[in-house]
Amino acid sequence: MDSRYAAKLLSRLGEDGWHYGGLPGLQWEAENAREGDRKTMLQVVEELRNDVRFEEFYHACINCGNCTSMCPPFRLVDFEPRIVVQKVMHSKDEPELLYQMMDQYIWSCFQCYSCWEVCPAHNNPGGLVAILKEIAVRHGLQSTKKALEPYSKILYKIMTTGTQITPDMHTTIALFKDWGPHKAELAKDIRVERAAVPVESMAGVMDRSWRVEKDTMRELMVIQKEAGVVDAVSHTLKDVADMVDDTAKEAGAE
Amino acid sequence: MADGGVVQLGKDEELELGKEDAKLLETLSSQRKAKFAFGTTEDYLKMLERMKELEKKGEIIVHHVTDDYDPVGVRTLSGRVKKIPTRETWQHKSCGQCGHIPGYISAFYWIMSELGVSYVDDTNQTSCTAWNYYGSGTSNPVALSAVFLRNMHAAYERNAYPLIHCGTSYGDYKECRYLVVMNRDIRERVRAILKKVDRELVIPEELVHYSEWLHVMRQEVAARRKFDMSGVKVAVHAACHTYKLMAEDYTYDENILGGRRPAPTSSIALALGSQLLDYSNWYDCCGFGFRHILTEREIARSFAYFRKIRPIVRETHADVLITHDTGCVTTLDKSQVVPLAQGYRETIPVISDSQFAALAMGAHPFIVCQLQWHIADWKPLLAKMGIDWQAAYEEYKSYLDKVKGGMKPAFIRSPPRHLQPRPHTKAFRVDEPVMS
Repeated sequence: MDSRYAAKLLSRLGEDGWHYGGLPGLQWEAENAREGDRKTMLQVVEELRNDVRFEEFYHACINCGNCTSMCPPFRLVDFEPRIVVQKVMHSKDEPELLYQMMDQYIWSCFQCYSCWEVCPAHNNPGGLVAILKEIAVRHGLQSTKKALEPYSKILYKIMTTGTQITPDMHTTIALFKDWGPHKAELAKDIRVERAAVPVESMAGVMDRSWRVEKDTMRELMVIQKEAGVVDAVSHTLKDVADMVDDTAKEAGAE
Repeated sequence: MADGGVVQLGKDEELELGKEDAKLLETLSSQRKAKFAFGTTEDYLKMLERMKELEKKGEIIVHHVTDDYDPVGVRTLSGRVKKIPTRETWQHKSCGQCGHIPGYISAFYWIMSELGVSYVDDTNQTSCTAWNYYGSGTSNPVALSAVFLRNMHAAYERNAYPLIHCGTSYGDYKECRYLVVMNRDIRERVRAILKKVDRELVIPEELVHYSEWLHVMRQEVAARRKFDMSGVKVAVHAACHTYKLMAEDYTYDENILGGRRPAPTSSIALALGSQLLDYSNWYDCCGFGFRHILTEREIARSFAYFRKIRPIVRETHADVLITHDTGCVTTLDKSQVVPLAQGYRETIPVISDSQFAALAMGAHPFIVCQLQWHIADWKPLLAKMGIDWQAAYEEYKSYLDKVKGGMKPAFIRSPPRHLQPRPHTKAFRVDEPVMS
C-alpha cells in the first residue's frame, strides 16, 4: 500500500476507533482492518461487486437513515444498515472500510429485510449483508468460524437432510433451555407426543422435521456439492464439510 | 385513463386530456410509481414477462395455475392480479413448523380436509435450506435456486400446485425465481445441476404462501365456524419474509386495513368475526434473526418481548397474537418465559392463523391443533372461545395413552384427488388415489 495513503487512513482512526473513515466502527474492527491482508481486502470488494445480486441490491445511498430507523438489531447492538450501504458505496476506494465490517458487524443482521422495503433508493442492505456473509465463509475468517461453530450440527443437518430444528432437540440436555419448565414437561414423553401427531409424514419422526425420502436427501447432497456449497464451507468449518462429504458418499451422491 | 377524457385534479379543478396526452401521463405516472413503490415493481413485472418469453422459446417449463387448481385472483402490492390455487396443492412444508410446532401444519391439513379440498403431502421434499443462507452464509444463489427448482419439479411431477408454508421459503423462492429468470448464467448452472438429479427446469407461474390460500378461502372457513368469536380480541403479526422480501408479490386488499398492510391473516381474523386490534410496532420483526435465535438468544428474546409482546399486550389487551410464519410463532411464544421469570407481567398466547381458524371451526385443541407444544398460556383464550379445554385435555391424555399402547393415530387425509401425476415422470409410479 502507498505509505501516504496508509497514513491518511490511519489518521482517521481515533483513540477509540470511533471515527474510522468518517463512519463508526469498533476499536477491534479498526485494528482488524489495519492488520488485514490487502490482497484479501481487494478480493472481498471484487467478489462483492461481481456478485450477480449486487446490481439488484445496491444502487446509491442518500444517507437518509430510513433503513436504520426500521432495523431491529440497531435497537440492541452496534449495527446500522445505513453504515453497511455507506461502506459498500466507498468500498472501491477504501476496501478497508468493507473489510472492517466483515468481522462481527455483519453477523448482527437479523436478515428480516425491514431495511429493503423502506429504502427510497431501493438498496437492499440485508441482501448485501447476505452476500458478505457468503464471502466471509468462503475466506474462512476467524470471526465467521466463531459465529458459526455453535450451530455446526444444524448446518450439517440442513445440508444432508434438508430439514433442521427437529423434535429430538426437545430433550432435557439439548438446546432451548430458556423455554422454561414447559420444555421439561414436553421432553418427558416426547416420543409418544410425536407419535401422536395426526399427520403421517410427521408422526414418530424424531431426527427430521418430516420423513424425508433417501433419494430426496441424495439429490440435495448432489446439489450442495455441485453448487460449491460443501467446498465453501470447508474453508470455515472443515469438520462440517468433511462430515457432509462422508454422508454424501454413503448416500451415493457423487 | 389511456383513452383520454376528463381528469379530476382537485375539488374544483378538472383537466381534459387527449388520447395521446393521457397515454403519456399514464406511462410517466406508472414509471414514477414503479420507482416510488420500493423500486422493484417495474423490474418484478418485467421478470414475469421474461418468464413468458423463456417459456415461449422452450427454455423453461412454466407450471401454470390452470383451472384444475380452481384459482382465485388477489391484488398484490404491485397492483397486478395474482392467481391463488385453492385445490390440488402440493404442500411445501416448513422444517421449523413440522419440527417444533406440529399443530401449525396438522391444523392446516385439517382445515383443507374439512373443506373437502384435495392436497398432496409429499415426503419427496426438502426444506428451502435458506436457513443456511440468511443465518450463516453457507449457501449461494445457485444452490438455493437448484433446491427451489428440484422441489418445484417434484410438485410438477405430482401434478399439484406448490403451496409454501414457510415465510422464509416463500421469500427465498421469490428471490431465486427472479435470479433464475433474469440471469442466464445462474439459469444454466442450475439447469446443469438439475440434470444430474434427473430433473427439468420448471418454474411456477405464481409463488403462493399458504396464508394467501387461507385469505382466499376465508369465507368458506368462516361458514364452518363453530364458536362465537365476536368477543375474541386479536392482534396480528405479519412475517417479514412474506411481505418485505420481494415485497411486490404479496397480497393486499383495500378492504383489509385500508390496503396499507398485508391482507392475509388479518382477513381470516375479521372473517371469523373476531375483533382485529392495531398496535404501534406492527412493522417490527419478531426478533428471530436466524443465527440469533440459536446462539444469541438474549438479543432475540429481548427484541421479541420488549418490541412486540409487551407493547402488543399494553396497547391492545388482545386475547391472542396470530401470525403466519414458523420463526414468528416460535420466537414470540418462547420469548415470554425469561421475562415472566424476571417479573414482567405481560403475556399473550401465540398461535398460527391456521390453528386459530381450525379452533374456531371446532378442531380438537390438542389432538389437531397440538397446543401443548406452545408455551404462553392459551387457556384463557380457549375459555373465551367457549372451548372446554379441561375436558379436551383429558381426551388428549387418554388418546396419548392409546398411542403409547400401540394405537396408530387417525391421520388427517386429503380427500381423493382429481388430477393424476404427470406421465413420463418419476412420480407417475406413485400410488395415489384418484377420484373416478
